[in-house]
Amino acid sequence: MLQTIGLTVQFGGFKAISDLDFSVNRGELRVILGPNGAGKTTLMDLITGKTKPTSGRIVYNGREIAGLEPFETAKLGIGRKFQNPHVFDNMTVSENIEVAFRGFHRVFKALFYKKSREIKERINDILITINLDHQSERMAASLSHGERQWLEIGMLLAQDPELIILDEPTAGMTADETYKTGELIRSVFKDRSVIVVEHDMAFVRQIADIVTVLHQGRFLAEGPLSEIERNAKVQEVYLKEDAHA
Amino acid sequence: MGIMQQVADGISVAGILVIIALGLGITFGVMKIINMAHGELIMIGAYVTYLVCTEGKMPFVLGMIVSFLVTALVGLLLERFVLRRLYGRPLETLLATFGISLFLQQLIRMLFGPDGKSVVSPFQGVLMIGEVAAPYFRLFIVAIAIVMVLTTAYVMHKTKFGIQLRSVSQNRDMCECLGINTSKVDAYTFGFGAGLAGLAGSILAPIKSVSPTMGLDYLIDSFMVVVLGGVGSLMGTLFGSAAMGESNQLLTTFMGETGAKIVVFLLIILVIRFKPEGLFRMERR
Amino acid sequence: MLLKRLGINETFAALALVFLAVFPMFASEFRVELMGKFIVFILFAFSLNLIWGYTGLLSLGHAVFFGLGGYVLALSYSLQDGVPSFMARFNIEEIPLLMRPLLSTPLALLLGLLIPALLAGLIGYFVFKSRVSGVYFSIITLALAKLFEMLIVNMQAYTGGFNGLMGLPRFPVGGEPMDLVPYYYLVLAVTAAAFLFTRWLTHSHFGKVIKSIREDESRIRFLSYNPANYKIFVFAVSGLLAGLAGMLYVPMNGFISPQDSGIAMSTSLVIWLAIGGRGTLMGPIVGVLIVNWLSNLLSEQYPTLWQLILGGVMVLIVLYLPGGIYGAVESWWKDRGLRKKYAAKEDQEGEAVLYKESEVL
Repeated sequence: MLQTIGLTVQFGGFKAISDLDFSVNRGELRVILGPNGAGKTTLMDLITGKTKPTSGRIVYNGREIAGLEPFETAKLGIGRKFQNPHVFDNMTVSENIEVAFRGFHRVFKALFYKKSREIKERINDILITINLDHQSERMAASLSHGERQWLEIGMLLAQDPELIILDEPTAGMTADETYKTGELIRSVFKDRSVIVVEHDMAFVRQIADIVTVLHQGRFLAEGPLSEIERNAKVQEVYLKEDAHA
Repeated sequence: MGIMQQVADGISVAGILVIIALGLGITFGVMKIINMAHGELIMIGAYVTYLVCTEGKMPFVLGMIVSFLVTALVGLLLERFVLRRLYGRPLETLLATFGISLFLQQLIRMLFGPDGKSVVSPFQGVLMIGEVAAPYFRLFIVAIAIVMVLTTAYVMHKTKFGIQLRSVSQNRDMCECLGINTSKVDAYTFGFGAGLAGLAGSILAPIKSVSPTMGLDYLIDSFMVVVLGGVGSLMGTLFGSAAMGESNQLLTTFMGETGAKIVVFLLIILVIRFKPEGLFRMERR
Repeated sequence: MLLKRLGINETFAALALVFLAVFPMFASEFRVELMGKFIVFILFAFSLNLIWGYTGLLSLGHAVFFGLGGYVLALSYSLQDGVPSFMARFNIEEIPLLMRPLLSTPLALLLGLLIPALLAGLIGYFVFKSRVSGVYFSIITLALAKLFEMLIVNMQAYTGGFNGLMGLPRFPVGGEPMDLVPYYYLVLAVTAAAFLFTRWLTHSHFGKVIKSIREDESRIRFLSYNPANYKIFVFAVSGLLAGLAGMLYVPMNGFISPQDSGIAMSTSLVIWLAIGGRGTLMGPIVGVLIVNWLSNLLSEQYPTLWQLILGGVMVLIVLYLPGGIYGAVESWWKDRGLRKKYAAKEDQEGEAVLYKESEVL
């Protein structure tokens, strides 16, 4: 589904990602681990088109997508949730969901789009799923941090992407909220490919199938979490640090 | 008039632009705000010079110093009471400073009347270099511009304040964590930028009519300089001013003032479209 | 109770419409003409509201589009009886080729809309296609206003220069000039239509997209939208509406001058909208009526003081009332509604909601 080949990106003299081969299959939930500066967020930026690679390829569904703009990768079905929730503050919760629907992105389609019953129902379903149905008319700015995270997950649901990128989806959540979010991700995104960048090991254990570990912009290890935790190289660079912290 | 004469005149126009754009560029580069009242600070500087030199009959150099100090103070007050509440919202700061510019313009109009005031140039006489006439005052402007660029470069790169200022512009949050008092840095930065505007106004006073609306043209021109040169780059400001000053001056001889402004406007639009980081910006991340 | 059934915007809009519609029945001709101008300004403020209030891009040179519309129509009038005197003075004996199309009034009306829209679209294309911050847009439009004013003053032979074009009759189409009151109603009808247009546009999916551009432009890029196209389109539509306002202004005012097309007018417009409430449907109406009414009351006695106050009020609005007068009213009303709704809900099914919460996740 998604494959990077020899992907490299350089900022000034610094290689944030170097010669990375990485792939994700359809329907897979992949967690990316790595200490700070490992290039996790940069990799997400490259896949979604926020950053352009210096060299190498990114192939998505058999198409070269390296160098496309974010709105183009989004059109192709790549959705992203940011580390700090990026929602539209001075718009209502349901407007936030509505604007995320795919297929109305062209100016004239947006002008003459009718809010059909089907769409209204889908908005309502999504609001129930993310537990914000009783707040639909509230401005997004007035939501709590956790609710904003969920709202952004709701926007992803509306966008209906094939590949979902979640950059630390539980940042700033309580343990309880984190657990609920894990369950939410597992249930609603189960037929899709999901890439999750995360630090919280309890959360990773809860959701992960396969884990990829990056270190200083390079591939370090890949496999089921139990294997990774025993991997000597990984322990050296990451898990030890994590245990100390 | 010969073309060399135009080039020479262009240099002194560029000199004024450098001083104005330095101030604007510093506030824009570090604080990410466009100060729409920058033109009015220039105007205040010019009026202070008028008070000191024409009314008070004091030497011009004193007028320059007092102008710098008074506008820097005005800048500090504006930062303290208005801008500080609006950081992180660039469009709001733009709007607030727009209101401030209207306010200051009217205030000066109430105090001094709408008519232009004049300040006598401290240097009479002209230096002839071959065919080219260079009035001493214009040479003085160029000298001041060079001194200000060097001073700014020194402050930015060699003093502790300059290092703090540059690190705030790179990563504000990090600086706060490192214990840098960012609001103090912001205040001084804005004050310094305002002071530079006042200084420019002081230098403009002998060659332009000092009036409440004199600032606007310079605001627009100096913003163009910042766009041309690239935000937050000293060399960019220098080259941008030179390009703006010369092209304005040379084009004016061929197609008149309006024609020149139109061509420069179109040029700027093209730069924004195809080289939004500015023409003279060094390659960075 | 009208308020509840219709919604706050619609109620106020209806009240404003009734007030403006009955106004000529009670007021002197002088006042009707004045109010007519205010209505034109309301239309003008609608146009800025689209690009600034809803899309978050402050145009500081909006009067350029207003002036373009106005000058196209004014020139069209002036050319009807052959070469006008302001041209003849410069020994121009024939109507210049470029101005010939203006001899046809319908064509002039069309051009008065298209030229401003095209100019706005073009500037939008250059500024929005590269992702520079909104500050660039504000300054470029400010520079444009300065430039346009200069251009009109300097091209005296074709524009009447500093004094502008004067003695313009009151009706665009057909033989006889229109009377004031019918023309007043024409302007009111067009402005009401523009209100409905704005309402439709901002409630549409398109409206939600432009609001999200205002809130967080980079985020919307990850949802398949290309913000540049939206911004260009909104600015062009906004330019068109401003041109329309300019065209309606000329017959009401009887003359147009460079001051109507430059910095001064653009600045006034920004003040009206900031005070009234940008990004709200009624903000333009409230701002234009209140500021202009006060200005008429005060500016004759205290002209400079009034300007000083306006500048100060702008700063205070930004600091303490960013939504303007109407924005504050509207959000108070909405909060009140929401509080009532949720209070009622919690009373009824408070426990049920709690139960559901733990069930869903």
